[in-house]
Amino acid sequence: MENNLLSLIIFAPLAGAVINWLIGGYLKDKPYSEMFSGVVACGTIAISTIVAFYIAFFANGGALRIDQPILDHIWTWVQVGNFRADFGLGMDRLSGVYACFVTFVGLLIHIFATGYMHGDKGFYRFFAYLNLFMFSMLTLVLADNFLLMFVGWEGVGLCSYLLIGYYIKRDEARSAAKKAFVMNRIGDWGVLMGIFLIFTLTGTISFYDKIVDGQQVQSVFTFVATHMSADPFTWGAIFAGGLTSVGVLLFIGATGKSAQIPLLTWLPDAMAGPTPVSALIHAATMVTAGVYLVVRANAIYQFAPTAMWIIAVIGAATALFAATIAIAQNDIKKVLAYSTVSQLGFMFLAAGVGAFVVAIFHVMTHAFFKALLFLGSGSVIHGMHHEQDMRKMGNLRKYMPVTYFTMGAGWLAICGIPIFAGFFSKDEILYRTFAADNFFPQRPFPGEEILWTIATLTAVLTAVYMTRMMIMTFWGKERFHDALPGEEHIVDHGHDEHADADAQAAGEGDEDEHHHALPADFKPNESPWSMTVPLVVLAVLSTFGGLVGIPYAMSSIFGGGDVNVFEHTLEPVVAEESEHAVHETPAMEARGTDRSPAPIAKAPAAEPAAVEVHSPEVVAKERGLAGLSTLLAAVGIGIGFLMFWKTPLRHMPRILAEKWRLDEFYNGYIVDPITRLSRDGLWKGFDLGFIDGIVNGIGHFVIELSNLFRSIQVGFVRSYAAIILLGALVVLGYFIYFGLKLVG
Amino acid sequence: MEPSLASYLGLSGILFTIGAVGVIFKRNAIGMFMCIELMLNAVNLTFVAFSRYYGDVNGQLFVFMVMSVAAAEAAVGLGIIIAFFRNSKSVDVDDASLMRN
Amino acid sequence: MASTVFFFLFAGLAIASAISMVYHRNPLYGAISLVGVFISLSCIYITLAAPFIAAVQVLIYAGAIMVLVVFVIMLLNLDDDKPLDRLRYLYAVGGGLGVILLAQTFFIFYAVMKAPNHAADQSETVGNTLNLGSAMYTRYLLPVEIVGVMLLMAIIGAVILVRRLNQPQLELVVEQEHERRHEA
Repeated sequence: MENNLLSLIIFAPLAGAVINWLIGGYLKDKPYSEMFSGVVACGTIAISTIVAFYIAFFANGGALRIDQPILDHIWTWVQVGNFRADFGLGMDRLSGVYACFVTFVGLLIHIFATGYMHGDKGFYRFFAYLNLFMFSMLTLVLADNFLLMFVGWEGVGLCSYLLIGYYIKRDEARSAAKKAFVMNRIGDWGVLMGIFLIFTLTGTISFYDKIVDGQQVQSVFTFVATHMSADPFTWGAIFAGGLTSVGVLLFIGATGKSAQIPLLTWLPDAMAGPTPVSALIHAATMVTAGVYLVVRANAIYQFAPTAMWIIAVIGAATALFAATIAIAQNDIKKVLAYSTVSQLGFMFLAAGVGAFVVAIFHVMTHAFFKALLFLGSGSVIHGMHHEQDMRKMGNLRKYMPVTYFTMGAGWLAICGIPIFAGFFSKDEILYRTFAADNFFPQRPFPGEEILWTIATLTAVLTAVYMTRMMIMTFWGKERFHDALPGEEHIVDHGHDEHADADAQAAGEGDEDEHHHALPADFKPNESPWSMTVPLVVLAVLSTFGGLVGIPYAMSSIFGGGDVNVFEHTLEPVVAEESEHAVHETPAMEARGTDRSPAPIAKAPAAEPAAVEVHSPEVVAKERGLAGLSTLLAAVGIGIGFLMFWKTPLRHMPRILAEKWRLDEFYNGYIVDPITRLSRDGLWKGFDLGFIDGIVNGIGHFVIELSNLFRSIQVGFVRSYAAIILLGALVVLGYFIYFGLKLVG
Repeated sequence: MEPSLASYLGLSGILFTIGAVGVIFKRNAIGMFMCIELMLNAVNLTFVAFSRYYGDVNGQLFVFMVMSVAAAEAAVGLGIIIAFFRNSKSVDVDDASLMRN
Repeated sequence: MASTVFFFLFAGLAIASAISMVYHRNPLYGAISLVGVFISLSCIYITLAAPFIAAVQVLIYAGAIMVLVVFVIMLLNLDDDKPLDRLRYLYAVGGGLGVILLAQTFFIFYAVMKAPNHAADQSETVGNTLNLGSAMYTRYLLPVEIVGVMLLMAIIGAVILVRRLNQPQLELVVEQEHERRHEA
């Protein structure tokens, strides 16, 4: 059904961006410029949030409650023959969930950023970019066809570039921005190829069945479910040009956007941007776009088992890889960046084994606690006057209590302590991996135990490094003035250089975060309310936000029924699995009516996923695994305390600190040869040598030819006369020739 | 033998040849000019001969035009030569090679 | 018979004078030779029954143009042509071209001889002044008027070409030329 309010969700941030860009720049030096930009930016996001929640819960019955998606056809963009791509939005359950948490977390981060970026000269520009990013992200999430989603996909890539490179004067920011954009681009190739292949196979690229201008538009997924059958579970299927190829291509795009192996190195470098950017883009929203794509296309993936297997394997491998690096990082933001990569690996692992709903659940809870952790680190950095190295922190809980408590909530959430949000989602993932045989479309799932082991190991490592981070930052003794090994003594600069700075006499831009040595009497202070209030809100969400998705196994402990609201909401999105689904129990039929029937009924209508959860042996297994993972989380925390409580600065293996030398590997084997080829081969050889040679050669040739002709111009009149006579004789001769023939 | 049209044309051709060769040979500007007048006269002869042998008055009319043009040309050409002489003090056309290359 | 004699006589005179004109280095000798050419040609015109043209030829060519030329020669006080010191190749080129042209002339002579020709109609004379005059002022009025304008142009042009500007006038002209060039 149609609801034109949907367009307001995406156009409000766009308007905010335009207003900020045009008027904010004009107001740049007025005293109220920051308030103007901040109000405009946060206000438009607030409008988006309110509208998103309204449409999700109330309009036309609430997008999250009704069966049909709420559509909004804005205008027909491309319509050529069979191909149709509209600028149209659609909120169904999946995009409803995404829109709600993206706007809400985005709003909190915007408020935080008004405090964090206070005093920065490019304030208006920052918020213009940030609003533009929200516009792109919401377009991505709310699009109703692949092409518009790709527009949003590209848009977030662009805004990521703009925002990472926000401190334009810093070299590492600029090169990090370029790196992010280029790696995203490599992934974009995959998405585009995937979309092309989808159109070739199905003849449509729309997500939903709808009627536009009296014309019936079919959804890709209903087409796939009704007309196509599953690909075989072989390696050859990847190249066969069928659904598996589509799946692999789309996943390549997802690796680029969500920083999985092999396109993951841009995310840690992206920490060169301001911390709110890291929180919003690289923790909560943009990087989850890859997961969104995979889950949105789950109908395709369920017929492409090879692709799903690959996703699961890569997700698990990335998770472990990033976790091993994270325990050796000293920059607080880098720890969180690798943690993000690792958690994204979890999400893909979930998607790969067929637990799409759980993947989205983890996306949501991860958004809460990772944004919380990033914002908390931003608060820490702000309080520490832009010192990011954890080796120079310590005992901050005395000075920044609100930050300490909220980050503690985030810490427990990510470690997977029960009740906190991360516990439910992560535990579900682990369970589903362990029992992947039962959920995977083409069972059995090879190697599920290995993946489960890897995932569990990663969970332990997560606990270890997060504990390490908390210890180094908030407990222990203060190390503000300790010289780091290898750092020479830095002269103290003035104290008031950063937080409220205007133009420096030294001409340094105050747009960047310097690392100045801290003056001798330095005491970190708590951040202003604009920064702490979002932290508190996110901490509450991290603590209690997971309760919407309590799996049955848990809720049944306390006698509750199936209260997994989250799963019920997202069930229709996950298409029917194939006939291999385990039979439902009759108890299912008597369930409450708040569950919506699946759109396509192939097998007897039910969701096998929900079915599984309710049989007794399955429940017991799940409870057992949940207990195991809790225990392992506690073990991980314990290990962390053991290793780092006394010696926070304990050295981790150097190979980990050097990120397994992956960047150097890429540079050496990929970037440098291409650079050399471009510079010496293509530029000097081809462009300068060949093409310029041709062009210059033509010029030279013309000059030589004209020199030849110029020799006729001797300048002497008599020579001219002779030539004229010659010409006349030629003409005469012509006539004589014909006269000769005449006369004989 | 009655001189036929061919003889007059032959005479005209010979005069024209002499004039043409003279233009190339002579270095004096005035000399060149006079050779050009000779060529014009040769052509006049051709016209008059044709006019006589075909009974057409147009030939002689055209001769009239040619003559008036030759007069005008004489005036202007000599003016140019005088102006040129003022600058270079010589009427050698080989000295007027400013347009070389 | 008589016409043949006259023709060869005057033709010979014309050719001899022409060669003489080309040969002499002294421009004055050349001028006088050219006058001889003109007079011979005028006589030939008379044998061709074109009295008007014959008269006009002597009047204009020999009387006006050559007088002008002689005046200029006297005015410029020209010396003889100096011997050739550059462009010697032009001798060869000119000679060659002349030979070719002569060949073509002879060919034309031959061709016209072979062609069926009709003798001149002795009774009909088209060259008398009455014929010419009526043709000029009825059918060819426009060209005659244009010729008049052209002569006017020639006079004005000649005057402008040779006038000597005194100093103030010279500066004025130069200044105007500068402006014209710089504004364009």
